[in-house]
Amino acid sequence: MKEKVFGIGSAFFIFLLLCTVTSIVIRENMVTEVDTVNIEKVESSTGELLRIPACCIVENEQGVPGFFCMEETDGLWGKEWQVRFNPAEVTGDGSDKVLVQSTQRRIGGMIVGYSSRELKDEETVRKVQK
Amino acid sequence: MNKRVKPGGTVKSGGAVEPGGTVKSDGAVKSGSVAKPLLMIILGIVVLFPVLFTFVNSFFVTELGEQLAGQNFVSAGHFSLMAYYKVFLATPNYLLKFWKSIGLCSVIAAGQLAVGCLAGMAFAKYRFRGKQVWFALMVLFMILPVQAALVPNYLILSRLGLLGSYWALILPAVFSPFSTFLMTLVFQGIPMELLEAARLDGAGTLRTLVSVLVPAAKPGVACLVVLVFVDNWNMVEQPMVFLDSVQQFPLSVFLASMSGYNYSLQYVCGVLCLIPVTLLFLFFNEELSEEIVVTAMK
Repeated sequence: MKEKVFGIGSAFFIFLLLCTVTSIVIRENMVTEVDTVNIEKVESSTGELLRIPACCIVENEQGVPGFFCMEETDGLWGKEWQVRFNPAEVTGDGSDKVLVQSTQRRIGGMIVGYSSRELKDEETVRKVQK
Repeated sequence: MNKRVKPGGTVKSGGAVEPGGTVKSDGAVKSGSVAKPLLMIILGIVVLFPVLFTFVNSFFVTELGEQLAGQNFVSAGHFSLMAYYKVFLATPNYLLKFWKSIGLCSVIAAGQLAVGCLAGMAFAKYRFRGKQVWFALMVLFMILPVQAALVPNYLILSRLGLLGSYWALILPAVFSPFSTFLMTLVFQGIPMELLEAARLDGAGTLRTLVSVLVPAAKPGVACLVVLVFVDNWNMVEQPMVFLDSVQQFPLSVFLASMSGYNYSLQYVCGVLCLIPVTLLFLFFNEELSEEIVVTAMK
């Protein structure tokens, strides 16, 4: 009996160990890495505009231009970073930075500058410093 | 006609069997022989039902509303291993918490075993001034509920600067009086002649404890390990008070805080949480049975 339980227990713990290593590898390789950029706020006659690098502007599946914001949310496993798509009206200012006015009233969190893969709305991501 | 009589059963002159027996002369089965196994089966089902419920439902994806309605044993959802995938492979968070809890409970169990054996030997086999008073105090502290000692422990740990670290859980648990109490009782049952023989052979105090007392008290030691491990595996209050961040919380607190999320995930986490304790209990099954028999005979 003891040997049998020891065998089953060892097999179970080795299996869990392998799962742990595999899941860490999956997280390292599959979860999209993102980095944020500094934003400047500019006052204009139409309201508050954001001056952000042009590389932050992306289009969603419907072809609407906008940018991704990163927010810290309470997930099942604790705090995690999620990205949300914010549609925006873009106006160029002749440099590598553009002025945008978000169509959403409140822009929470930080704006995504770099992502290792194409982002989707409400995707969980990993924050890195580039 | 052959009649089988179970141990303890007696055959009446007419061929009927008394309460411990089974068969009457006319072949009719007595109600007592059926009632006992039936009662055991019913009790077994009652005890195992939550485990079976958790295990079966961990394979079904369900909607929250359906589950809350609680109409069926097996929920209305479809068979899926997605919850297992989410817990085992999609993220390492749960498994890391699992390993953290295993490590924490193992350290506490090992610490309690060491402290309990040393102090138990002192109380059971040595004479010193105030022994009875110290032992009575130990029993008094043991019967205090955990919640009563939370604030004093918090203040002491705060002074020591250990709040927010795992030492805040390990140290109070290691010096819990329960292990000392149990090991004292276990060691009291071991004859002094064994110790004297060890001393004559030239064994010191530590050698006597490790090579004579502990092997002789193997069922008691196994009992202590299982009880301490299970007790700490299920601790909730201490981590919530002594630890700062949710990320540090062990599995027991995490499971308690999971309500409101995906039910199949909760069931998978519950199943996984059951396994180490079950394995530990099965591993020490013989020692535990032996200890129960010895205690019953006392």
